[in-house]
Amino acid sequence: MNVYRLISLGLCAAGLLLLPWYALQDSFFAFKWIKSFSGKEFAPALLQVSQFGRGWLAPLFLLGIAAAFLLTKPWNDIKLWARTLAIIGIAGVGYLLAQGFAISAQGYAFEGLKAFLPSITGGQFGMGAGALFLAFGFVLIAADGIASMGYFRGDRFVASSLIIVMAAVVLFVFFPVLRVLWAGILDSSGALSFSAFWDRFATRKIWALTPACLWGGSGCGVAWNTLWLALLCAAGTTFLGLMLALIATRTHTRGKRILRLLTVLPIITPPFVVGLGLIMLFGRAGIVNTFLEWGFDIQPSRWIYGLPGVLLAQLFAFTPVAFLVLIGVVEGVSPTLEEASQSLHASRWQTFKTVTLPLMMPGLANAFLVGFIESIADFGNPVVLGGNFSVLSTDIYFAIVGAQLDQGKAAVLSMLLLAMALFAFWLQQRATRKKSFVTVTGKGDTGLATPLDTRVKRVAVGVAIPWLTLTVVIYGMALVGGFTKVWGRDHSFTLEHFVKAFSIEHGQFGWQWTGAAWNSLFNTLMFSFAAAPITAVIGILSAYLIARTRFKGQRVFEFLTLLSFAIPGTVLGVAYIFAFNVPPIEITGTGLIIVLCFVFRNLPVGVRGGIAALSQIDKSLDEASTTLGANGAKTFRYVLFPLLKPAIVGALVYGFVRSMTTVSAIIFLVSGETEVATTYIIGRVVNGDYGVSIAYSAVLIVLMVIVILFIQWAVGTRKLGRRGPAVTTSASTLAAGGG
Amino acid sequence: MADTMKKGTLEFRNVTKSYGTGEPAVKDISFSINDGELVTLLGPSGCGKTTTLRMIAGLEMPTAGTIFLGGKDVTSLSAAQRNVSLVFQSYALFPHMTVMENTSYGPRMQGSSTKEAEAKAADALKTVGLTGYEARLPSELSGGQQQRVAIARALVLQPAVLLFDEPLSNLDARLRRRVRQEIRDLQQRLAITCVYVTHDREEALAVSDQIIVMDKGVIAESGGPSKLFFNPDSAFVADFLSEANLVDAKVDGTQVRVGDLSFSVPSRQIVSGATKLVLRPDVFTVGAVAGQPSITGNVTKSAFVGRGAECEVDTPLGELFVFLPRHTALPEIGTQLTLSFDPQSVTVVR
Repeated sequence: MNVYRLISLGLCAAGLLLLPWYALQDSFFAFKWIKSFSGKEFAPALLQVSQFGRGWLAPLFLLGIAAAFLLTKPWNDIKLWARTLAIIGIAGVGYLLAQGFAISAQGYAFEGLKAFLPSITGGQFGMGAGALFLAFGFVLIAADGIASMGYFRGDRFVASSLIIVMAAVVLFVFFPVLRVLWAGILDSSGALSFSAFWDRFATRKIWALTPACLWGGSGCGVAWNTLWLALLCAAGTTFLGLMLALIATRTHTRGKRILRLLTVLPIITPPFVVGLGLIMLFGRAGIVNTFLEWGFDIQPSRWIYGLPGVLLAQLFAFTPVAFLVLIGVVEGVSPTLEEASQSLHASRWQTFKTVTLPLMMPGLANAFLVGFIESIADFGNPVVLGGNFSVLSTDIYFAIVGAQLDQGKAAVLSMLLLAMALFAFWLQQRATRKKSFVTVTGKGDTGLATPLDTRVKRVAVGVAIPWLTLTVVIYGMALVGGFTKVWGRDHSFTLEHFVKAFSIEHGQFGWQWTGAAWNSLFNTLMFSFAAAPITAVIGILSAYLIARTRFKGQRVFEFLTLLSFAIPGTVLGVAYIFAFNVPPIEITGTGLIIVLCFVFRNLPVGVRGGIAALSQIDKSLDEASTTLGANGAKTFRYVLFPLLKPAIVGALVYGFVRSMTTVSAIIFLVSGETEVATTYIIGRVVNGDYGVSIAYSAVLIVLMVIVILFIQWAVGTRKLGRRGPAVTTSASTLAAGGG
Repeated sequence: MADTMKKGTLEFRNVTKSYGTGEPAVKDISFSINDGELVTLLGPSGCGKTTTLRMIAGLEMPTAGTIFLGGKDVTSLSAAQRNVSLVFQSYALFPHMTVMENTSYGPRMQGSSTKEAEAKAADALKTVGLTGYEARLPSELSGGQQQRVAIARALVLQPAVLLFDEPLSNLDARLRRRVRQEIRDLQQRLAITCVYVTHDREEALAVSDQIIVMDKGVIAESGGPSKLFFNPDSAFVADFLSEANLVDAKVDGTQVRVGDLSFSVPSRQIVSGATKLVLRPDVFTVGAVAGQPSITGNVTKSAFVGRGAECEVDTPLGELFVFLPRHTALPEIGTQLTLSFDPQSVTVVR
């Protein structure tokens, strides 16, 4: 028997005989279950069946034994054997899930089941480590069988990777999202009711439309607010991004370096930092208002709280993303075409208008839609600056955590938000697919980029300089603010905010982390460290499956993984509450749910990074490896993995950093114990405690830079002559992120 | 290993390969290759030659038909299970491995100990004359050296058949002639069966025992280099191999009539059902020659190309492409030229 089969049987055996079958109250890693092995809560499946009357687990043993029996010796009729093995594996996973969903804590979960299934006493909790191991074991066995049947070119590595990735995506992305949609059409008693859905959906709160509200007035429905904000934000970021990209690629300005540096900012700053900076600048007690009041006796205005403020914040927060996308687009326009145009006596302006701009259209459309998706998914800025101006993401939040606690409303709003995001995603896919005339040929394209037309250049520079200045000022505010007593009233220097958040005291019990922020900071670091490698592994593996193997339904697989990109964080967060609050997967309030949320929020970044990196590795390398006798796993291990190292570093860094800065999805999932940095800061902001929040944000940014450097140092990059470090390639994959 | 004589034979029987719905890339082709031969798959791009090669390697699976290697059916075996090695067009050297690591990769993947694998690799590197380069990375080698590493890596598993996918296309023109001779020498020294894909007719003529000319997914014709060059059966091969002029002809026994000309051609140079006279550019001599058919026409284009002159001459038979060796003067455009050709050196094809 080979290693693969030993592992799959080992997983099954551990899952059934050794590990606690059900989820534990304390952490699994507290290892209490070793001491109280035979206790009702801690017992493995074997004891659950024999001692605690959970007979419905028994069929799993039969399937496990049958698999072991089959694996010890293949039959002569290898095809029949393979098929039997596949069926047993699938049946194992299927039964495991079915019993989990069918039997909840109080017995059968659905009334209808009682009629034709044997009666049971008691119920069960959420599944635990034992169930997880067994599920993995059965999946590996099923993949073994399917590969032995001749699918996936007989490669078990490909088969099992595909099934595991697919199962994970379905279970942790699509199941929760569908669960939300389902919740939208249930009435308060839990019965299916379309009228309940209609009542929630067709309300003035969502759809009201008055002309005044377009200009910042109130009275519009939340759907229009969101849409209008997103359109403005998308148009603004695309315009600003294009101007900056033109400066960065088509001029010889000194500031080009600084521009590139700016693209890193939105990646390492939590999304609400810009909002905070704006408040300190334009808020009621902000510098501008204070100055106007002091110098001209003008009453402080509150214009920043509402559409203008949120829009401004989003413009500053997301323009770097558009810039990142558009640098690639501008660089993708072949200089030879522009030279051709000029040699045909077109002026620079004519060339720009008739050649450059049309060639960039699909790229601009893509940037616009990225901006749109970013805006509707943004939670941090609207919650900080929105005031009475509400958007879908904030409304969903208040429907869940606010006094109303209306899950049905949250579900319907989530549906709406999801629909908008998916529509934009669909358009974006179409725009990027159609870019067939973008002119990267890969072959000796040696023209020099045409200098910009003076008019275009004047506009670009005229826009860029104020933008850059304000960005620097805003971020500067966010740093300085942490050192002032009370912003707007008492600007004297103080360290008290830092002390409050990060004090360490030496008391009678030794050193103690007495600062208010330590708990959330440690949590953030721990969860992010746990999530990053999982994201990287699943992401790179999916990329490998999409880019390097061929199987039926591959397009569907690719579409589904990238589709999860379009799901706004708020929706995913709500979805996780709805789906994982009850057995069989009962993990709300634990750190696990946060780690999972991080993983599946950031997965598409890993996938895209992986695909981008793989597309730079000549496919004949895999084929060479195959003709030399290596199978899929060995090819991956010895050829692709070493060459993918830069991409893996990229995936790790971005997985980590995005976990550290995410707000929207996580804010629903944290509990007192599992609070993370961003949710802690948002909490402070909502309470008006700006000092600590700003101090904390600054610490977070510094910390993130340190961690990025550490990861790069730890994993290391291997240079291969001409190949540059590929971390930069994954930066552009971040482009369609979303707060 | 009992049947070593037949180890390197290869046979395709009615093999078809289609991708999705459109026209198949390879349509029902059959051929066989003897042990120790170097056979070239020649044809324009898109003719199916690379697909055929990849089916031999096991990187593509045929949609229909059977492939035999050393007399055994290998149709359903994966690339890793076939005793065949491929030298890739791009060489596909693993950029993160040294020359030694690259060359010993095959044996290591097949389970040899590192020591054993390196001994085999050292042998293979010696065969291609690269001893001393073991510790270098591919990026530190010249194009020609990289290719020799690729060949050594393919040789190390002692494959029954060695495959080359356009091996010279990444080399500059001067190296090509030398490397193709090295490949031929190596092949004959090791007496190994080789299948060699190229679109360059001179390359194919220079290295092959047999040439299989492919066109639009089918085999246009196969045979030895001189047979295909001097005496092709199909118009496509005549055109592709020698840029010959094809003139509509009436054939009656060994008597050929084109335009006003009538002459007889040796019967071995006539295929049944032939309708086209093949006039290679180099069969003409200037001026009338006793006993040879001749035609007169106006020179419309004329270019000096070093070895001689390339002209186009407007004749009653149509526009003819003519190569005149250097000892004749460069004909000026507009002058009248009388061209004769020896019926012994022309053929008639379908």
